[in-house]
Amino acid sequence: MSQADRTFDPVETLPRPELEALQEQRLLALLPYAFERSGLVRETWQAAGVHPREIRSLADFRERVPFVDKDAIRRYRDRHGDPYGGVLCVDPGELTAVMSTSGTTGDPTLVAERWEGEVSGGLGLARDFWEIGVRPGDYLTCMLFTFRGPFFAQFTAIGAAPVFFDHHPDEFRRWCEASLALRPTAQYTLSGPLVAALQQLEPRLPFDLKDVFSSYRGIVFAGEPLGRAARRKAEEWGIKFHLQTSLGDVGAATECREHDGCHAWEDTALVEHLEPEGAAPVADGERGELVVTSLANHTMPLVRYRSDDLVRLTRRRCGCGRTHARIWPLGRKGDEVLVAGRGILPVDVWEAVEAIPETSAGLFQIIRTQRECDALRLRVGFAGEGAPPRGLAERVAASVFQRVGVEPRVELVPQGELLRLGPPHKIPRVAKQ
Amino acid sequence: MAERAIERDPGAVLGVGRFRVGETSVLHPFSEADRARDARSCEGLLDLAGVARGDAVLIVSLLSEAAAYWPLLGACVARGAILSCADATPFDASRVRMFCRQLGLRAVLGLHPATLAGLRDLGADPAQVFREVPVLAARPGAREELRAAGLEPRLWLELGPALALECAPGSGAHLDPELWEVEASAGELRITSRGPRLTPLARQGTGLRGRVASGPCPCGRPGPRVTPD
Repeated sequence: MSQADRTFDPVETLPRPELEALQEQRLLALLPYAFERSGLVRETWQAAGVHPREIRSLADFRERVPFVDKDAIRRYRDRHGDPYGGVLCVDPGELTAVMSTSGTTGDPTLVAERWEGEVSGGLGLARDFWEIGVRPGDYLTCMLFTFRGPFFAQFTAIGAAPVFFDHHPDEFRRWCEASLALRPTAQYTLSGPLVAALQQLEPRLPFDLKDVFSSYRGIVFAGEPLGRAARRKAEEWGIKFHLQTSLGDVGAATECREHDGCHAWEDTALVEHLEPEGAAPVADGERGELVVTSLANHTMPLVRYRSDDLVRLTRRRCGCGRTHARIWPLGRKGDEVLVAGRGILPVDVWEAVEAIPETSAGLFQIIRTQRECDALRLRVGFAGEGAPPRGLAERVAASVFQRVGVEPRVELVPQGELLRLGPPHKIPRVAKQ
Repeated sequence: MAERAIERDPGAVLGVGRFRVGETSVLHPFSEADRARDARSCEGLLDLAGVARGDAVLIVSLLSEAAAYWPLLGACVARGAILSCADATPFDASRVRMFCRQLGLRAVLGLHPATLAGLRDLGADPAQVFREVPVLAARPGAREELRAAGLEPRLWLELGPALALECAPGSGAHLDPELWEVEASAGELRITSRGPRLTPLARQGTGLRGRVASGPCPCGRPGPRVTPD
């Protein structure tokens, strides 16, 4: 496949100087608009003594523009009784839809949208699935929810026909039958809980899963990090997972066929990679906080939004030829717990939990009563019901100690208890108790 | 510089949904022409619910039901209603509650027993959650629970891939006579599609038992009305 055939939109391989010129052009058009119409932007900038007329370049933006975060949006919402947190820039009467975030860790927040026809959210997914190898006339299975609206219209934009399933293990038998009948090219999505469920179901299914998966060129794995156990299972089944991660709250980033970081579409968002407790940029490839500014959303644009997401990021050209930044998600800044001077994120514990057969689904929570704790406490889901196997807590603790250098206190619960805590595609990885 | 423009044949497969027949599911391929025609028909459902331009509408459904609900989204867009979506699952009950609290909804369409189960898990009283919503269109099972809570839901029904709505509680759910015929055969409701369709249905069983009324409805809308047992 030539590189030209590999991309859906020529902007994907735009040389960096041209991409950054495009970003600057879109940013400088957005800022006065957002200052005028977004109560949160105006309030934040006025408090910082900044006005859009002073921002004439990306460099000015990086030097002078203040940050906002989720707490700032919530405070604005509560002070002003504004359900959109001061971010909405249009009259509510102009909206096509009001959707919401997933609500994994609290009440979902509102996401106001204006659509072009019946397509919401631009064509980022179209690019991702074109890269995976979906082409006009293909079938593409969708195993997801409705609360994000008609994302599947992006697949019809590339001439593919979505086949619809709910994100639930009860769908697997029907999904196997449809996969064998229609031979889809790709799927959006599978998640950790579903992979674990399919693994448990496999011996009872009257299908060879390698055969079921044989037509799929790629499956987008979303909701949480892709652990080693899930990747191993994918190899056994003969499939390639493409990790997808959130790009702040302005979109998503997905792995290409190089599987070396998730591409953030930088024509739609200005992506910064900064020190978690400061404003200085972090070196390419190092751990930093993802800070995003919408470039293509004039309905509810976020401007210099600190996402709380820790990532590694590179702007080096990818082996696929794309020039947009790639990110590797590491976890949420607010999820880090300090134990004996060591910072620990859920991703640090993940493989250790997956390494034990009874807990290989990787379902666990870190109990984080405060940022600094005297001990690492884990709640870990095991396969089965009733009492956990003898010695299991000790084996999990030893595995974690081997990888992290801190011996945890392990509470074991049946997996089902953890799965009930979240939406179908993930669980909250940190709990206060 | 622009992305690829892909032309589609409106008669080709646009998507593949499913509809339930009792405990089984039937794969249902549909075309863009079907979706567009069904979307125009769904505007009739919005008329029944009194949804006007600028009204907020919450649709509660599952992704697997997209063959029926994608046209309904299109009808809301065409009407200029402001659309929200929630999954018909217990987990998404908190989302339904949040939308009811924040958006001044005109109608909730497709309210599902799973949502009510989720509200129970949250300790939320449906009478409080839905008290400000003028039109509650509820599926069988949910309708009865909402009535018991002192609310006045209208019946919302899926018959194969077709959607139907009561004009008023107790009137029977209206089905679009231009697109569908319905009969009760040995007590089971069967539907037949009218006009061209990628996947025509002829006396398709629905797994639902019920009655069909063909006489005039007090609302003046023509066509059959369905009441499940």
